[in-house]
Amino acid sequence: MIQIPEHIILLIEKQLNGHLNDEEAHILQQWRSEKREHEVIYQQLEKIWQQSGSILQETVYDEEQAWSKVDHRLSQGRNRSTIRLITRLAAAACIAGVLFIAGWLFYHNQAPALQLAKADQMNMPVTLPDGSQIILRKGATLSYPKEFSGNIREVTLTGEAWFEVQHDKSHPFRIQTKRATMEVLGTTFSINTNDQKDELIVATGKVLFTNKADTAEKHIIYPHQYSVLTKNGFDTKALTDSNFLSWKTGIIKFSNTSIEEMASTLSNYYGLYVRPDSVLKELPVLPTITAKFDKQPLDSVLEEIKLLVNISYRKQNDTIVLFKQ
Amino acid sequence: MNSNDLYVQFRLLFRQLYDPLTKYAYTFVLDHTSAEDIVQDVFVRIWEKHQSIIESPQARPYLYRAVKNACLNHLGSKKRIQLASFSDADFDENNNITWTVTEEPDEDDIPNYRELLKKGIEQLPEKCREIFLLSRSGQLSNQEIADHLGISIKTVNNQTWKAMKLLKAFVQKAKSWLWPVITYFFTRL
Repeated sequence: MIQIPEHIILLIEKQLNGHLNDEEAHILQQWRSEKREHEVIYQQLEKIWQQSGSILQETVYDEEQAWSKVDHRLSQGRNRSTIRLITRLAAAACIAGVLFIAGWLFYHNQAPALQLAKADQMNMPVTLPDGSQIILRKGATLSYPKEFSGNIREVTLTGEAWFEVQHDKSHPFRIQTKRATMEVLGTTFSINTNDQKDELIVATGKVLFTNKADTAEKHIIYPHQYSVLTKNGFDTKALTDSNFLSWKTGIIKFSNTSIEEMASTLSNYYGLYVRPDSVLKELPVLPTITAKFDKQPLDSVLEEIKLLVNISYRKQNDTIVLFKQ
Repeated sequence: MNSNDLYVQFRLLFRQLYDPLTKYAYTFVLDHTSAEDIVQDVFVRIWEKHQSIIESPQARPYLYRAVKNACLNHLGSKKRIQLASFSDADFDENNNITWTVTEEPDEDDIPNYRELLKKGIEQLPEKCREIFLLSRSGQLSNQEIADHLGISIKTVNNQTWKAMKLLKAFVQKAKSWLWPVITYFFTRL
């Protein structure tokens, strides 16, 4: 029979949870090498701990199937509550709209034909009639006229895109999103627009960024600035994320980047949810990462990170959980 | 945050917690179908009535509490009283854990060590098992578990280690009778 002193139990517990400091590790190591039985006990405990953790964390239930049931139940309720209000408004709007469009077409039967570019499967380059180059990120859509007429070159964007606008002082280039208007003369910049926010990053030149809800609110955004418009208004700051164009270039660069920041960059780039586990997040000293990846599949990126900083990963459906080895 | 994004958030929460919560529910209702139904109902109710919790840092502890309550309701009042009362006093026991070491063959030699351990976990005393499951599923911190059960962090630790001790004894016992059984079969071959 062997008594394990309470302070040693505490150390073993810390060790198994992965937050033991150097001094404590030393004490524990000493205890382990004191007697063979100590080492045996430690090994046995470690094994039970790891195996039981893996048993308890092993996926048993089919989450996808369960979700489809829940989603189905909710979609009925979800639509019902919104339909009442929306159908009435929509019905009214439809009638008004149809009448208006009919009338408009009747009197102005020369509305400019709109082109729609949609990047369904992969990033897609688009050349506009004026020679401007646009790259749409997978999922983005851009509508633009077959020919630019009038004084203004105007396009509409949803999703993320990179713009290289042909310089033409007499014909300002205007991008409409749901929430904002961005106007430029000729410059390069990147826009990401979705339901919650419009993000703008300028590489060269400058862009006039206007809130549609309050057109008095205009901001001029300069190179290496990052500006975001949400329902709470504008926020503009110096660009810190060097990976804002990785979706276009395929290159991801980390330089002394924290794990959480890295996880969010990878989530964004690979369209998956990557997160550190709770133990990793709570480590007093988190490693940082300096590395460069060039069009690598996620697996090889994660393997390299594993070698660099000893952080391993496991897959749970389409979430990738990072944890300390 | 608009409704769509909230729904995405909700979906992520579901993905992360569905399996651990259902396992937790199973420890009470001991029936896979009921456990799954209960957890699904809890999620549906959250979307319908408590959307505000989805983005809150309290979402996890809240879900664990909701699942436990739903399980206890499912079981009816009798079992409920028996199960629900957690207090530090229940665990007031001597902490001098003793460990026996046997110089027998290593556990690697035990066929199906994992299966054995699974059985061991199932046979832990109810409350001890509940705490062990919560702490080893990696979803709640010890503080959150303590709050969830209304006990102290120290008790959570003690119980986790009591479970470790019981599991170790269980494995060892299995080993000591397994060996004679195995050798018996081998000699008969």
